[in-house]
Amino acid sequence: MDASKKTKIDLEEKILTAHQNNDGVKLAELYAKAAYTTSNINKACFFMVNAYTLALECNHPDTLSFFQFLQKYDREK
Amino acid sequence: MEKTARLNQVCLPVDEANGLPNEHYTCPSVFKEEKDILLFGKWSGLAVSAQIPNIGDAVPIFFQGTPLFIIRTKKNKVKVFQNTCRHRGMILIDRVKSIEGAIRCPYHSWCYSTEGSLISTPHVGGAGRNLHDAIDRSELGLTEIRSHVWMGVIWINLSGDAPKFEDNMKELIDRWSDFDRPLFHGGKESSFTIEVAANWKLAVENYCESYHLPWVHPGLNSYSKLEDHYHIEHKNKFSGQGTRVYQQLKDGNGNVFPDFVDLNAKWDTAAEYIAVYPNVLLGVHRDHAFVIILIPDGPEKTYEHIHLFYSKENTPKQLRLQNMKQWKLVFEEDVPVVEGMQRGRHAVNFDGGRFSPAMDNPTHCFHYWVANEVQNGRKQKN
Repeated sequence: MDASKKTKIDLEEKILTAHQNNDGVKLAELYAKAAYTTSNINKACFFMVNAYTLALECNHPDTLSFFQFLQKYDREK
Repeated sequence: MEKTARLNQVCLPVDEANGLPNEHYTCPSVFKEEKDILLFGKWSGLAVSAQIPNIGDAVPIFFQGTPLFIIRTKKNKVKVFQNTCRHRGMILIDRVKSIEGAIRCPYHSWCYSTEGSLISTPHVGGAGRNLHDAIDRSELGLTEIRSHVWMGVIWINLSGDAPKFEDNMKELIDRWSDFDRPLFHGGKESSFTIEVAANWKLAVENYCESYHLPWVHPGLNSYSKLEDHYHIEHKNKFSGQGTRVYQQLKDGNGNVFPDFVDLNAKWDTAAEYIAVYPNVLLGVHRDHAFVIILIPDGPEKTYEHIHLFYSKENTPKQLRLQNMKQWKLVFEEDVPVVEGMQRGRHAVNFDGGRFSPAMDNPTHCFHYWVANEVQNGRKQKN
């Protein structure tokens, strides 16, 4: 298995675990990481929507930067 | 006798009137009618603001089957919202919680600020797109319920068309202006709930008269005798009773609760107990106050949520416990008579009963209000 595929699987597992633990802060950070590590803009925005939503809920310090990411691609205002 | 005639009979002067007919205590359709007219159409008590002491605190409450939640917003305001998402009607707040950031719907994650604005609509325009031309967030905020905080109580007007609270309650606000100051909830030692197998109105009726005191509360009667009480009546708004011989609670060392400051000398020995129509029972004394919020759960079941308040924070815990114990005993002494009257409302030949023209005036005042409001509501509907 190549390294990038393994990283992706690791990230997915961590996201699932964070969902199970209802850990909004961790989830927001993991989704943001997923967004930042893909070159596909649509995929990145999908992950960033999730990151931003969870960040809003838990008042995460990176909420604004997530918002700006989506705003840059006309996905949020 | 047909419905209108029976309610006309209730509205006669106290020495001629009969009480409300049985159906007002037992019939599901009259219960629903009264819910719309008397509870949703007026300013009803929902909760106390002390239930949400910190910014972000949110508590879900069903009021007559309607899902609501109370919240202390980021701007430190107490607000009441319908507890449903503007998207699919999902319940938003399903337990007592603290909102750190936004209120996120657990279904599709639409997010609202604590002030009620819709602030994000994840994937609403397709995957990864939070925007869609058809979704105007400014029109899709949470449904706010008209509310007002007074005497520590969160009052709501679900119909949205009652007169302003301050105007509606002006006479009582003026009467008790001495107590219009911060009230400090006594915490866990100062709240409890009593479940009563009776219609909510019987709890009001029992509360606002002193006639039953010698028989039902013999302990109180040892110092607060019937002749020391006076009636309080304000047509269509509130009624109750006052006493001229209130004695402060003392612990074993003679300590008492601190008084509210700058009280009129009248309150040195007076205390007043008023039923604010429809569902809030209030009591004030020189050193503490209490509220009882009646939450009906069907025609023949009521929850009485009781909260005690003091003039300062950090009053002695043991004294607070002693005070709660004393009031709990009094309120529990009322349960058998309130439930007994409820059972009596199933007697087919009971005619609503006759009032004592000398002692039942506050109760008749309440019956008059119910009958009058129901008649008016029926006229408006037809």
